[in-house]
Amino acid sequence: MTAARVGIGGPVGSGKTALIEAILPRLAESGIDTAVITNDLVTDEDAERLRRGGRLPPDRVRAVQAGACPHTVIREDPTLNMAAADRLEADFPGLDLILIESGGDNLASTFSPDLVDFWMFVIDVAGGDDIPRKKGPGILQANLLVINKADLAPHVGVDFPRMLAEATAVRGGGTVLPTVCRKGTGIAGVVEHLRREVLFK
Amino acid sequence: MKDDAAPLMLKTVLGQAAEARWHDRLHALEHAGGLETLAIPEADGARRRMRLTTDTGRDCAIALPREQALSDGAVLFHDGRLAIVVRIDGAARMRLRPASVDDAMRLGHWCGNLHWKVVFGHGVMDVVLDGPRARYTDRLHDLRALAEFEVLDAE
Repeated sequence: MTAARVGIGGPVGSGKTALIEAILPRLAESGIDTAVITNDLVTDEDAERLRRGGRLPPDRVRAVQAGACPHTVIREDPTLNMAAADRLEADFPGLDLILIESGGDNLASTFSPDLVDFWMFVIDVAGGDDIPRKKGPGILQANLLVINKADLAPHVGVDFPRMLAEATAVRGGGTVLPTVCRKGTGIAGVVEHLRREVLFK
Repeated sequence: MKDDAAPLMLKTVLGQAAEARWHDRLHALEHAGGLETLAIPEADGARRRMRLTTDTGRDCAIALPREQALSDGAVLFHDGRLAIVVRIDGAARMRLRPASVDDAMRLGHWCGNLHWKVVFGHGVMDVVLDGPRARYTDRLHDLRALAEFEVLDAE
């Protein structure tokens, strides 16, 4: 099979890169051969962070610079990302998974189905418990919604069970998973969901 | 995956149900109760990987090569006793009819900003609904002050 392509979008600072850092070791433990493409505005900041982290060989982390609004290269014209994914598959035959991290963007950010097979949207409790109620396309249309930094809820005045329930309700019952990426909480659930829904192994 | 049996993997498009070489085989299987359907919403029709169940509840996982695509009538499995065929379920549509060319430009600009999928017709624009209709009509509320248009049911 060709590698599954999974998009990760969400606002700036919500924990997209932290989520990737957290799931990479678990994917490796499961024998899932993975590479990553990052998207930044005009730098390779996220790619460099992942390379420094050492959870993947540096040449398995590729960077795309959007140059403008980050959603343009994951939705309107995803050709740069498609080409990067094609190159990774050519360079690493047998890849199971290519994670494509969007540059941090607003709640309207969505992925083109031409680019990814599945995509998740990452928000965090510190961004406000009203985010699910705002019903942005990212919240509503993502295959999986991740609410990160759940442990910060009491410090930022968020009723986390209510936020989780509202997120599930606006998504019509679509899956919502809480995480604390920095501590590894909830990461097993995210990996299990990916394995079941898109990796099939 | 730890908690459930492996799904039936569907890794290629074998052909189209309407093709002569498939028609008779599928027809025979249908009478024998060996034809199953995978109903896929139009909004997911461009995906190449997904997990879903057939109309009889069979757990399937689609994983097509990049150069292949799902389409209505695509045959994804056949072993002589069982065949699995895709049915793309068309999404609901909402028709918008602008009153003038000026209104049409404002309406098109508005819907474009909302990233709506549209299909153009003669003097009308059909919006492909990926969710409740109210979610779309709510977004048109503020445009009423700027452009004159009708909201109709798509034919």
